[in-house]
Amino acid sequence: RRVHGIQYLDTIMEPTPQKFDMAIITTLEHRGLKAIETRKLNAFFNYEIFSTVDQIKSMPTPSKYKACFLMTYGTAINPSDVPLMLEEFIKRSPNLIWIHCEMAGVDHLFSETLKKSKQITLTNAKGAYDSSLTEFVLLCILFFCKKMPLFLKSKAQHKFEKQIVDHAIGTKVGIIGYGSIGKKTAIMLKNALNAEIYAINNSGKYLEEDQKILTFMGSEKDIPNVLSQVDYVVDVLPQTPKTKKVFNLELFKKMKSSAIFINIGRGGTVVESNLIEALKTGIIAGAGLDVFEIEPLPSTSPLYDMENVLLSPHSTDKTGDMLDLSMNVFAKELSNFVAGRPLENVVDVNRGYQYIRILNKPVSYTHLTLPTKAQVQISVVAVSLKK
Amino acid sequence: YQRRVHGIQMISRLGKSLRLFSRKCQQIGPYPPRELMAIIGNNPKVPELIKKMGIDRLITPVYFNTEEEMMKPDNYTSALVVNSNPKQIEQFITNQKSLKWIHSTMAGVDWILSEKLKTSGIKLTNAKGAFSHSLAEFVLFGMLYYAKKTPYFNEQRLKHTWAPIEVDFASKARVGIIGYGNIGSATAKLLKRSLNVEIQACAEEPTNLKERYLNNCDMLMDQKEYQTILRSADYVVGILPKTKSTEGYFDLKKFKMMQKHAIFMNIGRGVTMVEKDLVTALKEGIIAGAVLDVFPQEPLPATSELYDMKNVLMTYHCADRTTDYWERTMKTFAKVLVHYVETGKFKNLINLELGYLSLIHISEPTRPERISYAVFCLKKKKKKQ
Repeated sequence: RRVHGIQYLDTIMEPTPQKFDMAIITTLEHRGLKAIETRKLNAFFNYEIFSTVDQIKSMPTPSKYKACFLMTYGTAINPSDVPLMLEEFIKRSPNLIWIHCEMAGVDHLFSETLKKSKQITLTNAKGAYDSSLTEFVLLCILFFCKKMPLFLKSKAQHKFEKQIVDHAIGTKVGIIGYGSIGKKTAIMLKNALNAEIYAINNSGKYLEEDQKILTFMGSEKDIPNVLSQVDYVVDVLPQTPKTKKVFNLELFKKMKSSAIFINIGRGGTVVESNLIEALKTGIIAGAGLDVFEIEPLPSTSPLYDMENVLLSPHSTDKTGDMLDLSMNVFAKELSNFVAGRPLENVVDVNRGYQYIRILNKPVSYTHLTLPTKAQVQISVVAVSLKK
Repeated sequence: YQRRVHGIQMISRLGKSLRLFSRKCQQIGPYPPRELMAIIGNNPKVPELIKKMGIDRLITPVYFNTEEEMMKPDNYTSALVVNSNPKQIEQFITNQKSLKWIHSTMAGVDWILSEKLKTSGIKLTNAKGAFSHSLAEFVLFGMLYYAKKTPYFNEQRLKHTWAPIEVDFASKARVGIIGYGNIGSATAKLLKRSLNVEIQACAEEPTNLKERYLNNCDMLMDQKEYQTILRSADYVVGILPKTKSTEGYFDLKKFKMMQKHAIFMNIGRGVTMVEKDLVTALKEGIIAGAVLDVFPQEPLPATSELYDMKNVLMTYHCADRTTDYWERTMKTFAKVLVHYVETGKFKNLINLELGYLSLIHISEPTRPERISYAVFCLKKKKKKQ
């Protein structure tokens, strides 16, 4: 049922005779290409693969592509080349309407050409990686509750030292950047630990279903207030010009001295030198980090040697079924695109993240000039089956 | 979720329930003449909590400064054991002639059981259910620690290398619990609520378990069928008490039945596993890792090989050693005492022959109407045999 996007494509919707043209920016060995074939998604589009900037520059202009799919995560393509490739591609394709990114964080794709071209909608894989990140947050909370740094230290010294341990029940957790990932962590922590959750949002507004889970919802000005009350601070912020270097020494000083800082958003939101100073001088008690300012973290960084830090080299979202999860999202968006429905995981390019969901307003995009009769029938059938 | 969170409500509002108990103790009032209870062991929190909860209205506590005072024969009808010194307790039992009841503030009572206790006719109760939640959280932590490959990352950290690898979902694992009782059901409940994993368990007398224990796990079997659990579980949790039949239960044979990527967790008693076999199993890759809270020898000597192994996580019998440890035990003690004073029967009674809390609840009546289908099938099978 969760995979209804694929079900639509395999069983209910017939492939239209009009296949549109799509460009896929990836390497030839990527597993996603096999996944596209096994799921029969190439019945709806003709695709071509681009792996280097030169291939894009040698494209005939104006190109015929209507959509673009970015699968650059974990490939040999240099991450600094990707925005260049996108720029060149956008300049040469006036028919481009849709760009889909395999990852949830799309901050590396923004450029002025993308912001100026108002006909393009950018979608990401929102919701695909939520559960893996929430498990990491739970691990960090329990790791520091059960005083594991002290146990690991005494194990290395072959000593049998007993410690007093905390309960994780009823802890206060602050989630800064409450979106899809933040919601799922809130639900999980409430179920597992009956935690009190203080969330921070851009607008400070919340839906009815959030009221049962949260004890407090605020906006940017409430951050210092929340940090002073909370035992665990979870940073789930995206990388935008507004959120750059938010966590500096001032904010660390406002946290409790027994507080733990967990970062699963983007490393650019934290000033890493200030974090290291805060950990060394005892301003905060520990940290659980999945993302860093510079990745890979250089070997000269003092974070490697600190005992009260739990490190994971950006691997919590690298689960075995990572590809399946992102492909599910892509298939759903594809079914929306072909049926002429509005796309769901749209990223607001000016703000840098998905803004539309929270306002709860319907958005309409015309992807095709006019829907044909066959497409209207298909969308009606799909809607009724969904119900 | 508010109903299901009842267990948590009880624990998070510990202050409120403590006040309720004190009120109940005060309502019952001082019974003339009050029985004497000897408090074996010194801890400053125990007299505080006894006053706060109003327990000294139901029973007079007697504190000792030296051992000689304790061993003088007197009319002590009951004893509360706060420390863990088996020789002291044996001597105490031989000296005191009018002892009827001993309550232990710990859940494991294997060190109190001696032949003198079995022949003396004294009833023994323990702190069942006081620490189940702390141990459940520890099991959850152990699962997540290995699912997110933190031992590997810790190893790479020492060399200052950045080595991302594929990581598992903890919610897609299968958990096998051996020795399903109060602690087992609390772990199952927490794991279901947080990760929604599949749980299989085995126990010695599954038909005698309370119905609410059955609802928490997916499959409950007799302890003879441990093979099905060991062969299919990704995380094996051992919660066995120390008895004659469980000493050395986890040996090389059982480790070989487990999967190669399985993690072994021991939160029962360290004597139930054989340390040498565990070390060989970890070195040869028969199992992938271990999480140990208890050890056959405590304190574990510094020469043990477990200290150097990278895929072993050790906490030194501290998973239940929380900041509110005493409040929890005294609450269970108050429950048992109030029940005894009202009805004359004992809760949490230990079956001295078996060596652990027998699941046949003597004080509470059974509810034959509500027995679930699973128990009904098991009962039917027994009759056929």
